[in-house]
Amino acid sequence: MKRLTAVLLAGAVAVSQLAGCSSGSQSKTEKTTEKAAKENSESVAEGGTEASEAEKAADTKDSAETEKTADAGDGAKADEPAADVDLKEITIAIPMADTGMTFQNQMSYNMNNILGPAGNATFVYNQSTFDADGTMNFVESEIAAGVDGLMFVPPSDSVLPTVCSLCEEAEVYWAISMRTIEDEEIREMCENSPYYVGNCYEDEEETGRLVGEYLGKQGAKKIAIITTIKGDTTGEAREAGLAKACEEYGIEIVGEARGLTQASDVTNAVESFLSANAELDAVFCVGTTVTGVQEITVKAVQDSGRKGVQVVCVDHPDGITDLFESGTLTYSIGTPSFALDTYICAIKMVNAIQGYPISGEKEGKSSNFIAMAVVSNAEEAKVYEEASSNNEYTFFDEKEIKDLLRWNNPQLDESGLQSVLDNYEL
Amino acid sequence: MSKILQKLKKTDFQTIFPFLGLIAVLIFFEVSTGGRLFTGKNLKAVLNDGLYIIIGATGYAFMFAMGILDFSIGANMAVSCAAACLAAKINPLLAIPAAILTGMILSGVLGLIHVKAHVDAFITTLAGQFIFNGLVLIVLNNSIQQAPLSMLKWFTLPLKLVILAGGLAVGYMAFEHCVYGKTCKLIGSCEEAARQTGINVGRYKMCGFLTMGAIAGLLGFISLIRTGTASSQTGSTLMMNVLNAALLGGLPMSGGPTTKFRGVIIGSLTMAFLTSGMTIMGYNVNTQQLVKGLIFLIAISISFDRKNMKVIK
Repeated sequence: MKRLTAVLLAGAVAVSQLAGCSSGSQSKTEKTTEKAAKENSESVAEGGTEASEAEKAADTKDSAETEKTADAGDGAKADEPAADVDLKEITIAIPMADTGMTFQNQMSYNMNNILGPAGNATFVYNQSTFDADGTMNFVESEIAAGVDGLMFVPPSDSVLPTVCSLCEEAEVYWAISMRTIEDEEIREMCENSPYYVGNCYEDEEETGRLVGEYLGKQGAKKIAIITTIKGDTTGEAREAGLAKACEEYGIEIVGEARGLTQASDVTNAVESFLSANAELDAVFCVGTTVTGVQEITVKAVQDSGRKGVQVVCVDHPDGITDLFESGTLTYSIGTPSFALDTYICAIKMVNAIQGYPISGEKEGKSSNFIAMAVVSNAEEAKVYEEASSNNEYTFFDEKEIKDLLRWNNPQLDESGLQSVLDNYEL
Repeated sequence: MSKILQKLKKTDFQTIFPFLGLIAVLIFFEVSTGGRLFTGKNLKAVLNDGLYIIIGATGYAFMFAMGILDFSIGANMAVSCAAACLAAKINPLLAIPAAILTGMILSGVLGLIHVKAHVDAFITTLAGQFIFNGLVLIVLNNSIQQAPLSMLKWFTLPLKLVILAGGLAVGYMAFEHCVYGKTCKLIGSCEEAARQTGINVGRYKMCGFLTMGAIAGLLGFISLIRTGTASSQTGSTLMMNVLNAALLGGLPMSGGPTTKFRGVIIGSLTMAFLTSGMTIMGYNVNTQQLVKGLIFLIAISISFDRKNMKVIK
């Protein structure tokens, strides 16, 4: 009897947990969906059109005809699709580590509240790990869950052929953010797929070179780097740019720490750099998966009591003003918002799934890059932080988003989108 | 009423709990996801993810039966995958033997330390995990290695089904109908009694480690042809998933004769469908871990033999 009671109790806990999580998750999803649906139904009502279930299920390729009529929608409100344009209800999956960082909050805020309603899209955020197996699990699970599109940050080019064939087989659109495809053969394979939408990336090599140039102009001769493992496309490109600057300015890399995964590893690495190199001029945070690596590095340098060792980094950290005011962080370079890459990919994805690819006749595939923004003093940091610390910061308002959706703005193309990015400021 | 209560009293809940758990998971998610759990696409995803768990749990069954917990399987898989990737660059066909041999050698070394130096398996495999995590970085030169693209075509449905069916058939026969499996259970039940009856306990334990190593190697190879990538992150979630599956299947951590092979299948399916169902429902990774952790605790509370367990008291 005792055992029976224990089993029943345990079962009750398990069921209630599952039910509790389910309802929580459902209510969150329903809330977003309901909101999108509500806004969509309002816009549909205003526009005088209503998509039937059959029309919603129609293949996106069939909407080429509809594209011709999209001109009529130019000038409509952001949440008001152009007349004769039936927008499908679409779901897009995005891997997002739930670390609570501001950029992630900004990304989900903009997707759920601005892009989602405007493009009749629901965004789901799910991620296991950023390794190859985790990426494959994410792709397979989301395809199985019935999403219309998915995007992710590939850990390496080698996962892409499999992703490409899986998505092609399932007729699911896909895009990559924050990365380019370096391998020629793989890039060609992906770009030949009608379901590959494209990517949005940063010029990583130039980023690395600019940091190196800054250090060179500051007179730095010996630096240490905290970077990714070899083979990571981002880290390698930044290091390649840095190497060019090092050669130009005679800078020597006297220490390197690769593939760090924990905050304590960063602290240990910085302490080792400092103790092993009495003449160290700077520590450069090239790239890592450790959240808050810049803050940890600055603190480790300050705790050591060593003067004259500056910290420079790629990707603007949270709390950037304080770090600059401390005098230890002297140079930070990154996208205006870390989430902007992914958001641009999402815009391209919505366009493609709804049958209006940014690149027009080329069935998807467009590649855009985001110019980097440099912060080099506390005043600039303050300006940047005011915008970036706002969880509800709007990347593009409803009017601007409308112009980035091709059924409203048929003139939009790859170069037009690039122009928007080139002129983007927080 | 009293007869029903008497029958309930006689019911072995440790035996039927895994079945009930699997049925509950299937019904719950099939209903909650609006019938999306058993779609072709989802079953394919479940197969891909479940393949690692089922094959891994098959090897774990023999270790469990002897009362051994192997914490090194994920890290072993990573090293094997790295070795396979390097071998594949010479000739893709070398990847298979390279992966399996590497896995067996690594586990064999741990087995030797456990058997010959009498270091507890718990400690040996935990240390092994750390060593292999370091080793994979050295083998990969602290980088991500890419397999020849032609190998990605190998990861086909027939191959997966052959590995799955073959693994389960061999595992079942060896575990339930061969001297090897029965001896493993006897060792788990009482090692000293097994030794007194003339059984070479050390040899059987070595066989267990080598089997586990071969399976880790096989999984490393599968991972390589699935993702085309060998990195230090390979297999990072394997150990926890396999351990969870074994416990959900009712395999007792203390080993012994109550260890049943059907538990491997039931537990693995439960884990695979649980993960899939939560993903379809849009649970984020944190919620998934929370649910898995709670179920792990509940499963271990029910199946754990507190009297015979040495490691945890």
